[in-house]
Amino acid sequence: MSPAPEYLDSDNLFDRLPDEIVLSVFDKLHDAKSLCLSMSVCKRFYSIIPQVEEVFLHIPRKKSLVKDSETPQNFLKNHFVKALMKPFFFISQVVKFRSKKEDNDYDYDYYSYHAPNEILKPFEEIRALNLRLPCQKKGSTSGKEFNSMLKWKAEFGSQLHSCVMLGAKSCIEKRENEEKLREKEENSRESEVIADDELKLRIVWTISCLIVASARHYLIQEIVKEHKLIDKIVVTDESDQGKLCMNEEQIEEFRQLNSKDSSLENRTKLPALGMKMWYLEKLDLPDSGRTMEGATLVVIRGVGGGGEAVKTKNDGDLVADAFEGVGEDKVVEEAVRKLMTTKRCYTLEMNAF
Amino acid sequence: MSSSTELTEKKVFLLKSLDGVIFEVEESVAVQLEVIRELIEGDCARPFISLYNVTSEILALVIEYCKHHAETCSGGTSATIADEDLKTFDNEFMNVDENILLELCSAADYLDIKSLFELTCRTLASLIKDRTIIEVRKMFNVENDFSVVEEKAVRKEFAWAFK
Repeated sequence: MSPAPEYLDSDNLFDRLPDEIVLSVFDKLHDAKSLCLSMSVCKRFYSIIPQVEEVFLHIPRKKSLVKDSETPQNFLKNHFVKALMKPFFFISQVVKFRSKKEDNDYDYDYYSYHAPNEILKPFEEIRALNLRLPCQKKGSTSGKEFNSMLKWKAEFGSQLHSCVMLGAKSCIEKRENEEKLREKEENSRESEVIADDELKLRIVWTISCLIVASARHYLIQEIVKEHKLIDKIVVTDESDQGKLCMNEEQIEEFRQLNSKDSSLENRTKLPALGMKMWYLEKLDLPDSGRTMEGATLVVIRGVGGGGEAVKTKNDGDLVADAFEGVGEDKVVEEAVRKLMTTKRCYTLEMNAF
Repeated sequence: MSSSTELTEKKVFLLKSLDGVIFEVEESVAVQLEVIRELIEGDCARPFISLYNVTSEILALVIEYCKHHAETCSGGTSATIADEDLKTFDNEFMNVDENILLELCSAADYLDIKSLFELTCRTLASLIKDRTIIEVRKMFNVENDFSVVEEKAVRKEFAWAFK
């Protein structure tokens, strides 16, 4: 064993640790902002930190909108953000049933976000990346004021492999005095058939989810290209509505078959899709004390293309994976379980778009 | 099996710190120090094992940590309760000053105790997170060795992080 160390007298506490240990510490930090700040602490940190393997980036808003906004780089950034936010806004529109008049009010903060690729440049050895996207407006989380809910998870390779979505027009706490009424309805609900306009709404939800997901997939293209070691990506958003995931094989497939389709400027083209949908007009969740209105579960799979791993998975597993460990949510888990036990299941097909 | 035979069966080992203090530990504790595992298994651990890189102050803490983890894991409680218990213990155990924390991290690395190493790294990272540069420098006594020009460049490079 080695002789007594002499570094114990140093004032700088980190001088006592070899580079590998300092790196291990920063590898646990994850947060991109803190990592960048730490790189500014001293030269040693500046040289060690770019080697971290796991980074979490909460895409920041820009403070100044005027500063250096004319550079070509910024044009690109803005372009990116636009691609990202537009469908996002669209979906919040649908979920909140807001009036069309407000369509224009999203323009104002398109230009106030940084491009993730710029920020991630110093981190050359990232293996696991977790991106968190800002929401359209601060505080406007997934339609909370309207009690609606929407959660989705999409898996991509070079294109969409699968997407699972759970949505409801409302999800509210069940009040005691309503309980009897609900029980009555419960008896009849099995026979309920989805009305045309309800079905249309579900399809709009689904398409919205898919568009947002494919815009996120587009967003990470450059990142995957520039960070050759990445083998795990998760993209979430501030409202925890949707999650895009890519594992090692999917990223590998993406790298090999990255055919850029120029017909779409800000999202990845979606392949032909097969969809399965479960629907209940009213869904009681006694375990979590909630009631859902218009509860809908959709399982979407790409037809053809890659994603062998997804294809062999049955719906139950796919859904279970999708909502595994979703924070708040015993609610989600219970809703999904109950929806899947309903007998009626709608099957839909969609062309590539 | 009676408890008395159990007691006699328990092997103990002697660990000697950098400053010459000798600690007596049971096998369940000693095996957690991967670095001496071979010595123990090869029966080369007599009369004591010298740990040149660890002071008695830190070694005492390390032993406390390993002891608690060994006892909790063999205590026969359910996994979830044991987990909770360890979490609480770990949190409290990490409630030490930065100096000790870094020493513990270094010791855990040297003694090859993975869980303690993870724990100290995570704790150090959480101390750094959301702190300003000046706070981090002060907390760990790190000198700013950037020249004025360099610092300006770095600040520009990470302008987004400086708000």
